[in-house]
Amino acid sequence: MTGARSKLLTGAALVGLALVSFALSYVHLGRGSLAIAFGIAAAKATLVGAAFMEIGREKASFKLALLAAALLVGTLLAFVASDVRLRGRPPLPPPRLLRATVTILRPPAPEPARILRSTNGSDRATHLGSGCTSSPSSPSAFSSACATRPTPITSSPSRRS
Amino acid sequence: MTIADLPIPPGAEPSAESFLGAKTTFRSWALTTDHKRIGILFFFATTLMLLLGGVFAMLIRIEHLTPGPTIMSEETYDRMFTLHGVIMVWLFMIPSIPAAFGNFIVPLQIGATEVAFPRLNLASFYVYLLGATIVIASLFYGGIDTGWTFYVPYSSHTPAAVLPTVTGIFIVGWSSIMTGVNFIATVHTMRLRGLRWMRLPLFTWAIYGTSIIQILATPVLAMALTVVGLDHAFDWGLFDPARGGDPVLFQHLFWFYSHPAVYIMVLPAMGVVSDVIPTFARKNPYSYSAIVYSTMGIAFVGFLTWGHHMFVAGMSTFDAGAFGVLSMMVAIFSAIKVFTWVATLYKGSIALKTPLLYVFAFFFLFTFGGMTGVAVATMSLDVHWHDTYFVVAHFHFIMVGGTFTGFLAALHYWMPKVTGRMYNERWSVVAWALVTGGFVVTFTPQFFLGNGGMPRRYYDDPARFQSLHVISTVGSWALALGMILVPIYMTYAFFRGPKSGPNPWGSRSFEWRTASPPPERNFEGPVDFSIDAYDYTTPQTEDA
Amino acid sequence: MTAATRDHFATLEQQAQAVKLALAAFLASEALLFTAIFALVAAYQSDWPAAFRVGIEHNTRVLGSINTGVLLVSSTILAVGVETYRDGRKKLAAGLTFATAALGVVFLVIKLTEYAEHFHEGIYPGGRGRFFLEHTEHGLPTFWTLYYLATGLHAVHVTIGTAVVGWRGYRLLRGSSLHALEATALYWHLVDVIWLFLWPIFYLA
Repeated sequence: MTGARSKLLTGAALVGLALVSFALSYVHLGRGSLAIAFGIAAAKATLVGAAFMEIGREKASFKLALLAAALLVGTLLAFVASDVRLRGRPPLPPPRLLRATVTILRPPAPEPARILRSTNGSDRATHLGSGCTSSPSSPSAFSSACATRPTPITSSPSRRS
Repeated sequence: MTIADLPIPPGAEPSAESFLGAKTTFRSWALTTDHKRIGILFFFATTLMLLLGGVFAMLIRIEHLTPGPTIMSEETYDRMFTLHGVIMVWLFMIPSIPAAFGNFIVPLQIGATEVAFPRLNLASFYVYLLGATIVIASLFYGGIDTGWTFYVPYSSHTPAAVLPTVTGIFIVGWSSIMTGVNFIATVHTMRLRGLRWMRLPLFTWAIYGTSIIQILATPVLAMALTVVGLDHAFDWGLFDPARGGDPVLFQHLFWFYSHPAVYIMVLPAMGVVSDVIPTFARKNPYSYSAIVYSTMGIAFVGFLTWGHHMFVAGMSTFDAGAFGVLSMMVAIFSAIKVFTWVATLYKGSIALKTPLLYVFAFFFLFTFGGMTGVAVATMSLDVHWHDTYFVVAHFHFIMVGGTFTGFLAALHYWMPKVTGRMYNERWSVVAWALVTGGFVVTFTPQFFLGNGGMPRRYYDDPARFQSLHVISTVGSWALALGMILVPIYMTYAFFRGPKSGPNPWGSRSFEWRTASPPPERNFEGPVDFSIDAYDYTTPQTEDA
Repeated sequence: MTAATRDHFATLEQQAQAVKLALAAFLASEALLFTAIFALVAAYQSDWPAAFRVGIEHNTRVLGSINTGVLLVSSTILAVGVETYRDGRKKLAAGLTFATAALGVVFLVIKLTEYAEHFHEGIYPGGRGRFFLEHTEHGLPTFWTLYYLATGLHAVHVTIGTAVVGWRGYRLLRGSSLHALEATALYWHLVDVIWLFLWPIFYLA
């Protein structure tokens, strides 16, 4: 019956971790709380995967299928996060060597680019709290319900030589 | 003495009861679990969808013959191009080669009597039929006008019949997943004893790679469309900025599926090419492993490139840069394949038959389409070409010039296998010329239209684009004529064509080592795969 | 599936491998299905951290956490059931399988109770309901709509899983095979794992 015993012990560990998570949710840890909660969730998921699903005992093709899924899960989440978090950051300036060609080839700009910023002046995606996106050229233009009017600023000349 | 006169290898005599003749009741087809019959059912269903999607395409092109309204209003035009896209992508391109030819050929190519889950296979057909019916039914409610891409917020608010359409696509998606799961299990577990992975025919490898994509990509589309459906039906507003939503997220989810989806569409066609060339060059592939690894490379790296559809959507420049680089990488694998195929043909003993003619068309059209793909994946160029006819031309070169020519190559290559009859080569060459020539005349002008600034999905256009539009439309008539010829001579061949014998092409590939059409259990007598599928040097006892 | 093989499989082992691999592929597809929702969650949580905090505060944390316990216990019971089958005690295995299905029903009852509680407070999907008149944080409707979407989809999977597990229990009494039970258990464990990640997002952090 040792197989069943180890399953029961794993179950107890899982419930224990869940209780820890539950208790911690009442402690205000700020930004770390989500990370910790996810960490505990990942630990529990690992226990379920290893001890209950016994993934380690399955054939290579089985594990590969799950690995492929895991990689894609990571990919989708990573690129969505890097999109949402990094909007509003301007692209890198051209490298020094090419800067001359850019100046020569660039047509004269009629009007400086307007970057919408949130009222607190942060460069980050302005929809944090204000409901506006920072991309001025989005063709999928939607009616942005800006709670506060952001302060438009012109791009600084030093950045776009 | 032709190949048809050669003595038939033992076990390949056409049995009195081939899978076609064994049982002929409606029930025996409607409730079949025979992968060959299911393949045929899928073939007819998807081909019907192809014709329907083609009708919409013809109407779109006719509308562009003259400025202003020609045969329809603006609202109707929006629905036409949307339904053309929806039907072609989900009801024809995605299922056709895998579910029709894959189902028929893959078990034969691995020496099996059946797929791993025959009843799941039958279910996948009925699920497809249900989804397709619901999508068609939406036509009776006016169809949809969102474009096949369903971009929010418009698709959440348009009064068009969004809900039945996304429901239908959702259901067809599950059919796709079922097909994929079945093929994965089949190729892993049902291979003939001793048939190693690196001896599998390349078409089977292609279907295997396709199945991986189907399983992993389709669920994300299902979710994207579910949210659109909920937003539309119940105003959940998950992508509504006023309620905190972000429309670009929909595009992430949509294109996470829809870019790999184009590889679902093209990998099977590439698999067909990989099998046709050795047969008609009587030569083994220049590098079998290059084709295998590039197939798997496309299957995986194809998942990393979706953001190149979103360069101007408003996503972060970091993502744009990353996706641009990754998109370049995936093109490498296609290039490896094209070079390997050409090298295979070099110094081969070429039989210039219709399947090979379609492969040649594939070479030129797919390569051109692929290169223009690399061009639009370059962000600095795409900002000008995005949402213009340039992109439309690019993907039609790939989809029609690539997948559809692969489909036609498969049809002409395996028609004798399935039916035991041969079609008339003269007619097939005429059709080929019309299809290929018509295609080129239809879509080459569209590159110039797009580069000149003609936007896509526009009902009307400035006068300076008129002549290019007219040329394109005339080309579409030639393409349509060629396409219509195919079912005509094929049907004639099925009833009146000469018997093909088990292996009219003299191919060494495994599916040809049994009678044509095959018996119900695929192989009668012992199955001998000891000679490789691409080995044209080892003499067989009866093959000179 | 009885212990005998279907006739297109040469051996029971071949059938078992095909079933397991098919299930792995299916689990992979389910993981991707929920990842789409997690992607929305990740994006919106990043956009509206304040709204997520407010939403979590008003969520039914105790009931949701009890549900976490319910699923963890059910997974444990099913895993023990697989072990007892391996020990040859098939009747006991069937009983434990039925117990798992029963806990699935408990989960759903609690979930519906939670939804009733939310409706009572005036929290409906799409930002409708009097709750949103009283709480106007930007992004709060998104939190709650996502909550309904995620937990609703999960509840659909619990429902299907409960039915499948219950059916498996019944088939066990008729002598179905070990790999069929293992495959069923794999699905149920995945449903559990998904909840393990939904729970912190919507109830805890």
